[in-house]
Amino acid sequence: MKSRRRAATVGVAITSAIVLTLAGGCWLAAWNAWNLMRAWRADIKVVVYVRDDATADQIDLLRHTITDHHAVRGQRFVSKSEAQEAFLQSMGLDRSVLEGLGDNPFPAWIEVSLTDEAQTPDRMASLASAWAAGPGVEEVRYGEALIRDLALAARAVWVAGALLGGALAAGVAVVIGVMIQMSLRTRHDEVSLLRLLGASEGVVIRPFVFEGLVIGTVGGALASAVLGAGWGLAQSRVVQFEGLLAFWMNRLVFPLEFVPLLIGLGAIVGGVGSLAAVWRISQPVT
Amino acid sequence: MTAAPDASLQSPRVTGERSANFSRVAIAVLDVWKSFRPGTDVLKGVSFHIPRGGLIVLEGRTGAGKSTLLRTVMGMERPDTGRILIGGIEISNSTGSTLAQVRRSMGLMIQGIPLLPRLTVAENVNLVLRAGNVPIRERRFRIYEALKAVGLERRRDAFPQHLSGGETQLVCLARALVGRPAVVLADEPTALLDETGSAAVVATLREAHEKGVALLVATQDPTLAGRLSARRLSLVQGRIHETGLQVERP
Repeated sequence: MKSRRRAATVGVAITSAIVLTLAGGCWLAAWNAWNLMRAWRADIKVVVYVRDDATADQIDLLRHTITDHHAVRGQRFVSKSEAQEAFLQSMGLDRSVLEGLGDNPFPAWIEVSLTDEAQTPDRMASLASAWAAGPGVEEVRYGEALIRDLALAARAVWVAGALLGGALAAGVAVVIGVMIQMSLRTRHDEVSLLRLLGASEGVVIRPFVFEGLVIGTVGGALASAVLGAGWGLAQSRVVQFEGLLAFWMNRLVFPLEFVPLLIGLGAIVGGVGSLAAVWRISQPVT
Repeated sequence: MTAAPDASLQSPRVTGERSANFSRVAIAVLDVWKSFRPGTDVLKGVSFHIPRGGLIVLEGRTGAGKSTLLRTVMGMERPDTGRILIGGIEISNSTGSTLAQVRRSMGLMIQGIPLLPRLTVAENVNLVLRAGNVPIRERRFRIYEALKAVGLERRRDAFPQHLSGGETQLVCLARALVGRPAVVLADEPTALLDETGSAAVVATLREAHEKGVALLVATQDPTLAGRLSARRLSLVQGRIHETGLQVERP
């Protein structure tokens, strides 16, 4: 009987570990996807184009206004001639292509990078409209559509990861709860006898809740170990990737905080599952 | 002769949880009536009390109501009318933590509290310590002490199905005493026992009595009261008759 119970406990711990590994994998994937999108979004800058007739004073005032804003991390002024040079360089063209175009047709601009908190579609739109009304400003661009798409994608990844991971974690709680209920049925006589002997409800349910906590914690620890080992293996193979894939793979991270989080989560779902199971049998002594 | 309850026991009804106080009266049973079917009373106005450290042997034939009385005293059954006080706490209408607290002050060797077959002797005895939330570091010694008192310390790892009837009785007695109770209820403690086993039970009960434990022992054995030098009550058709103090002369 005892060996059968032990085998059932080990089985449930392994099942919990497998499901928590899947849940942890979901969260890890969501975390990395979100991080990548954040990094990508951080590269996007707000560009304030300056009118050709803007005076030096107007440009200075505009730069000061932008620099003083708390949402601004940094700014760089690109003059008309620098803009032209940059264009030629980026396109790999010779100066001869500019012959016949008359005056330099490229506008000067101020390239503004924002803090992380300000990189939301709403904040960026609000900043853009505020700066667009400034002196000597032609127009403001910041890749509205891309920013919106990235924000949407990041939220979708988070929601999907949280939902899937949450569902899997709830599954672990259910599995542990069912196991604890089976254990309660097996030990029903012991529970009844303890009550007859005057045990408080705390004393009666404590071993079952503890059992659920231990199973969940072990499951979380095993899941962390499996994910960590899998991560290490994937990283050791990164050298085999080339180009863009290697670039993105190198940006992926396995945060160490993830280990205690997953173990703690295992303990929580184990505790919740076992508490739900013992809640049904909890009754006053009569 | 019906054993009259002490006038001092007519205290106000106790409600809510409070600590049991065994300084004067351990058990007080006051005009308790109990029936399982209308018109057939098992207990008919039973009254008696056991002072602190007192010892009463309750005699009666099969079906006289001894086991029902013991189950009612420990709170497994509720009296139809009447009151039962354990250590000053009324348990006849108690539930929850109050009843649990009173039960923790009792040692129970009664029908309906068997040994669990999948637990060893030591684990069975340990149930009482678990119920009493006794610190784990104390438990091993307490179990050894209780089993040694009944001479079964070497059988601690045996399972109940491998024990003889007499050994089972002795383990039940060890389980009743391991919690160091203020009151012990024992139902037919010498049944199934040979002379040696019976003598071991009597010696253990006497030793507990000498340590100040109040004992209520129900039996069909007419010699037990004498062997325990106990006050004797007879339960006949649900009514109590006092038959005096029995002292065995060597």
